[in-house]
Amino acid sequence: MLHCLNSNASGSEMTVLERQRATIKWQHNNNHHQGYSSSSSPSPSSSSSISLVQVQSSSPACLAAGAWPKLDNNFLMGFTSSPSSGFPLPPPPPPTTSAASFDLNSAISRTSSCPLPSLAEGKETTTPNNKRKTDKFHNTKVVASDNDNKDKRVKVAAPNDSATVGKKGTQDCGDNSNKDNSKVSEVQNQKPDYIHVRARRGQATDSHSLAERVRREKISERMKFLQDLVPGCNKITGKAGMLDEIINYVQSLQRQVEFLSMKLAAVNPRLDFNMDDLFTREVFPACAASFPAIEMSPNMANPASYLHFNSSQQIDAGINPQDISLRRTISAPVSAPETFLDSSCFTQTLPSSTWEGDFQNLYSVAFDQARAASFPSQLFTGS
Amino acid sequence: MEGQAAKRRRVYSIEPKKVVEEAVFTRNYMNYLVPALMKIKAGKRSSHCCEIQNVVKHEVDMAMVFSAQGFAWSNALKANLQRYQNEHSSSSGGPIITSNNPSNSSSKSIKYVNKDIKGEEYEDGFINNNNNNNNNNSKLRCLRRLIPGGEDMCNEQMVEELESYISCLKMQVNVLQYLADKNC
Repeated sequence: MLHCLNSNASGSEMTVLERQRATIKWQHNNNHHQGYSSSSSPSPSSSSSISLVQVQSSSPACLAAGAWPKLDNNFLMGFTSSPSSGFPLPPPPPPTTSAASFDLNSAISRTSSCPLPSLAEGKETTTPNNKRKTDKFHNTKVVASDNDNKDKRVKVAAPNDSATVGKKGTQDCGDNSNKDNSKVSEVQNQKPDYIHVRARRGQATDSHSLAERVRREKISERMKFLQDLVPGCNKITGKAGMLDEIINYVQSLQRQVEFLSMKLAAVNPRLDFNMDDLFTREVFPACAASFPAIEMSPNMANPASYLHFNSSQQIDAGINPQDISLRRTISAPVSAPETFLDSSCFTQTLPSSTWEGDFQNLYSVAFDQARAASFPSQLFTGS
Repeated sequence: MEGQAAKRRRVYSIEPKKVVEEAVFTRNYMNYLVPALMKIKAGKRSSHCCEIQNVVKHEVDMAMVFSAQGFAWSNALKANLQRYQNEHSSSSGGPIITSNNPSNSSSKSIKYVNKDIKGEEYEDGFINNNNNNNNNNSKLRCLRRLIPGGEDMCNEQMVEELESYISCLKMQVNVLQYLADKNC
């Protein structure tokens, strides 16, 4: 077949001819049609070219995705590597056969969604998955009309085509054949901060619905966290039920806050907020048993004066829990004397992570129950 | 999570989730609220009880804001409170004494309204096959009204904020419960 190349066509025609050659060769390899014979007819008129086109259009199955070799320099190189051709590396000598008069306009179009030849070789059967698109330089369009639903789909990046054309091809195929069956990976990595999403089987593949699905998944992930927060939500699995519970819970909490604030407003102002009970079980359900002493500034309103909690002075067995209560004093002018009334014991252990590190603690430890209002700021270092 | 309350964009937050620790919150809350309450009590004994209630509510909310900083809802709550404060500016430098204003712009009024929100939404005539989606949307709208600043959030941001808001609400209730029980 390579002998046909010895024609006097121009360089551009040679390119077209090369394509024809490849087509014919492929056809011959795959279908053993008469296309080869007809294409090799020596008539230089355009009728042969038309016949070539006709032949090829009559057997659309031939023009599968695997049919078209890559029509670029690689192809030319591949062609020229065969020794029997006898023509040198580009520009090769022009052919003499019908392809010589083959018009550029009626040449077989290059496809944009054409797989690599290496991929094509692997296919035994012609499974045309891609719809071929007309190269913008050619008028004739040869279309592989087979739009079978196949699982395997080859995505090709033809180097000379723009990314948009390639993407269009894939999206067309996606619309036609892949809505039901295939897995589609939508790669929109033009910029590095895109989110790469893989569409699942049986789901829509356009970018909006993918983004929508990502959002929904994030929201449902968050709802799982909320399940732990809202009591009684563990049994509920549906999103609607969960939302109901959350709404109820938030509303009830807010009502409780209002009620309690009204209660506080109406309270008799014996506000000895000594908070010695504050860190007992009722406020901290898992509070610590005993705490080492920390220096504390009597001025509550100034957080900056609080001293840092020394976490090294941790719970010691020697500390008598009876004598130690963790409290905070307020040097409000009203509430002086009852600062250390209670020596409520802590019976549970506060996890040490709560007290470490990131906040300045201001807890003090008192040892005597009947203590004066002036809190001695002494550092307690142990029993 | 911070600073995203203003726009209803679909923003995927990649910041680490901020967790409010109970001890920190409680300490801060008491830190703020107790002196404020003392000041209220000491200052205006003869005030109308409704006024005191408003002031106490305000201080309760402010304590919440103070204790849980860095969340979108706390910023929104702060903005609400400041707006309320500006609208009813105090006469003296003391705590805010206002008449019982029914058109309260703070979040408290929203809470009263929301008691019937869920019922209202269910009364709409939904098409059956859209029912599920519409229900979910209406519930999300309802939630959005519950959380302060929720109108400006997109859905996933709102769900994120909900976690911190619910945990802070729980802690607030604990503290207030303690204070109320202690002194009654």
